[in-house]
Amino acid sequence: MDATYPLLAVVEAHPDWGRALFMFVLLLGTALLGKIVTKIDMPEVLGEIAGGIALKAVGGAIIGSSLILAIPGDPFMSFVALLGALFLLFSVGLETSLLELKKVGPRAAAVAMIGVTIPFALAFAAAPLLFAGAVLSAYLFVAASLVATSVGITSAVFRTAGVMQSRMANTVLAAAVFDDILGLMVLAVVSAVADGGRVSVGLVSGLLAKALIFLVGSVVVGRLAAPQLSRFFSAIHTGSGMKLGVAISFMVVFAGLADVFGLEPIIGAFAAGALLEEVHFRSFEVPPVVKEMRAALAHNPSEESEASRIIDKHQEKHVEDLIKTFEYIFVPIFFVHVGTQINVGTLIKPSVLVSGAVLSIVGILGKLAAGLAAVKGERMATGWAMVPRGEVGLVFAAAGLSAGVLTDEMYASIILMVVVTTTAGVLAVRQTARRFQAVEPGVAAA
Amino acid sequence: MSMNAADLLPTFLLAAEKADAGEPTTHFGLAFLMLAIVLVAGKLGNIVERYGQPAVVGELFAGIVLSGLGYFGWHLIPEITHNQVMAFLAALGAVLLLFAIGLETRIVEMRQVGVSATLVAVVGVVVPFVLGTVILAPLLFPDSNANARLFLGAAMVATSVGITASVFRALGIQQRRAAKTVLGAAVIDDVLGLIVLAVVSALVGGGQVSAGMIALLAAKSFGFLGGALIIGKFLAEPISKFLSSIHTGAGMKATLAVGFAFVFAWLAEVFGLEPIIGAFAAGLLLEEVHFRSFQVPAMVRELRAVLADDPQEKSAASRIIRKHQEKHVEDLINNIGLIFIPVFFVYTGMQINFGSLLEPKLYLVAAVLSLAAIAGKVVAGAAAKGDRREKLLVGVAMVPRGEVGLIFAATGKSLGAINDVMFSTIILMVVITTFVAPPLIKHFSPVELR
Repeated sequence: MDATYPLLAVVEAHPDWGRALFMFVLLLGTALLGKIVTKIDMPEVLGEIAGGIALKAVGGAIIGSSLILAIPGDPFMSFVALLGALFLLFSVGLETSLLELKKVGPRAAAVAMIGVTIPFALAFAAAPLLFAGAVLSAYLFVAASLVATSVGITSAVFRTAGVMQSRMANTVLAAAVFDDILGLMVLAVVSAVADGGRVSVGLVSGLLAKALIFLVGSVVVGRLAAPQLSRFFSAIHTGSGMKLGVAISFMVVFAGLADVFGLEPIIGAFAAGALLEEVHFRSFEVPPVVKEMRAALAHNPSEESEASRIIDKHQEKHVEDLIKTFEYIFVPIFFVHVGTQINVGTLIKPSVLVSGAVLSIVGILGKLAAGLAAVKGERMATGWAMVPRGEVGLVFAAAGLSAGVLTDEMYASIILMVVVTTTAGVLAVRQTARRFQAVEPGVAAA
Repeated sequence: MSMNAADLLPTFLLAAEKADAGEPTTHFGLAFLMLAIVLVAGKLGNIVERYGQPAVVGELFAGIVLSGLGYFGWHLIPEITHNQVMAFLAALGAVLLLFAIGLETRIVEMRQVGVSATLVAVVGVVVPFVLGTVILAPLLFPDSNANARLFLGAAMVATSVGITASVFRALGIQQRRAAKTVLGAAVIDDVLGLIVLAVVSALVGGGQVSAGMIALLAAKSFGFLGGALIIGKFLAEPISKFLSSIHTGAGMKATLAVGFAFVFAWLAEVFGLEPIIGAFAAGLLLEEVHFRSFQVPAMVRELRAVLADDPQEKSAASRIIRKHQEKHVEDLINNIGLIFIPVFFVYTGMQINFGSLLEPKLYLVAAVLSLAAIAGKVVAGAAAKGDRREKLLVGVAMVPRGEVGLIFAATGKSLGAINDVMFSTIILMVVITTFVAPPLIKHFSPVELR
């Protein structure tokens, strides 16, 4: 039966798409309401994450809706949320140029290096004091959960503040890529220790090699192939559907390959965005509507047919414009989904509040120290930009919990640390980004 | 070279999947690569547009070709058709497709279409449905049950407004009487067809087919569409006003529109109807006017106003450019549709059991079915005004089943109402009717334009 009716098998396994759609709508609606924080001059991201926490708390504890409780574990919602993160990082990548990233490379590596070592060391020292009597591997996991950086959250704030093209933003983005590689290795080592197995040099260097092969390979191959592929597909059709299709295919291929090579899919999406440039799409007949309109206005202002031709072509848009619509829908879902993974009930215990506070301070100080490796004048800003742990911190904590290493209290303290660092980081980044904007108005205009 | 790549990729990917087996919910690497394959195949299929064919035909073909690659041993293809995430994305595509069709359908226009368009639509629904269910299904598929026969008839009902409209536009006759009749009739056709689909698919779920059941379900479907429209009239505006007080950007607007579509899709399911019916209802009830509290002046309108008013004024032009980022709801939905709707088409094509295509008999059956599908709509054209040529033009313009026909086939298959052979036949019928329509419309269009 299954073999002859594949779709039927799917429907039986997941009887109603309506359920998934309803979850989707709940996340969307929460995101909409979360945007209200912009009224009190708070970043949208925080409103959306807080909305997710509230949705889970209200829906789960008060209403007792099994549907809402199922959201964080639902594979479709996880996929849609990850898709949102991909769109965000892809368009962030589109706005950055590979050359700029290369320029800040060594410095970013130093930032990432310090940002991984110091929080890890500090937390590893503090953990036995906070959680007496636990095993070594538990302390290692607590420490490991502090190394992460949520590049998604930081870049969302950068974009809203309009400082995406600055050197600081490039440093942070490049550092986040290194951070992911280092974090990957830390997680592998810590998991191996927790498993009781030996940490083999081969395993770690194998992971490192795989990650580097992906990054270097994707950039080299992608750079060579992008113009060819784009020309090939534009030979088939030059519409905006094709253009968008090519761009998004690039994104998902790189995200998928990153996952295969052991990196976060969002790093792949960022790499895809960084190596694609608008020039790769010039074989598509997509003159920007703005330029045309200006030309027409200057040229022959009274000609009606000229204007209507522009309007007809108006449907052909820039890649970044096209991606934007996807961002409108999917990126907020990502942030709300992050929020739904946090169980607020476990956080309000005195002991958790204390240990969570200590971990938060360690987490913030450690990343601020990393900022010292940045250029003078950008140190605090860079440091703060690395502070939000966001969904990556949650992934680490979840890995520790599912490995049976972390106690409930440790897990809750880590979650609290994630909440605090994310909130503090977002607020601080926005503050410094605004100052940046004031100092360098050209940056915001670019 | 390409064969090599095709051979290498699957084992590589399957290895990746095995590594991921422990945590299926956090690792979507394979799903992303599957999505890329489906997307790229669909875009390659778009080459048919160069030969004057609608994109949907190419995307379907791409899906069929992928199904063939699976048949000849590419293991990843059956993995894709079994993958739940891909099924979910295709379902999203179907919902967005119906939502977009609903958005393009204006209730007001439906009131204006007049007697002849209504007649054309009703005949164009009744004749193919009766032909399919009562005559052809027992003849071509003797061992099929009542549900399958109903679905076969229902799949012949659809008319693809989009394809017909784009051919008319290409010929420059969209303002002629015949074109207006066709487009009006196609709108009514959509509503009637979806009610037929709602009834038929609910019947399949309910088991027994009886006159009373049919009447009850028809009443329910009409009730749902009507109720949705009434509720929408009263609720859409306040909801939109409330949300626009939180934020007036295009993001809020797009989210609101998609939210409406998904809520109604879910509601439809609660009422025992297909989610796509709800999405269509959501599209029908939402009108641009509901979004006026968002700061979204249409780029087009402003551009025109400025050009007429004071063409030299540069500052006005740049103001428009800044506002250009705020788009119309339809634009926003169409952008998202550019990705998800092709995924649905390719995925539907992939559902074809390639083995069934290797039986010569299938083509004979599909040809008979297609002839009946064409004849049914041409008969409908007789109800139109004008001379013989104009009647024929109206008739052939109703022929393409396009994406709407695919919705019927995919729904029937997912409900288990139709088997592989019938599914393949319906897909072929959709392809053939969609394929022959553009040249036929050209042939019967007014002489001076040919």
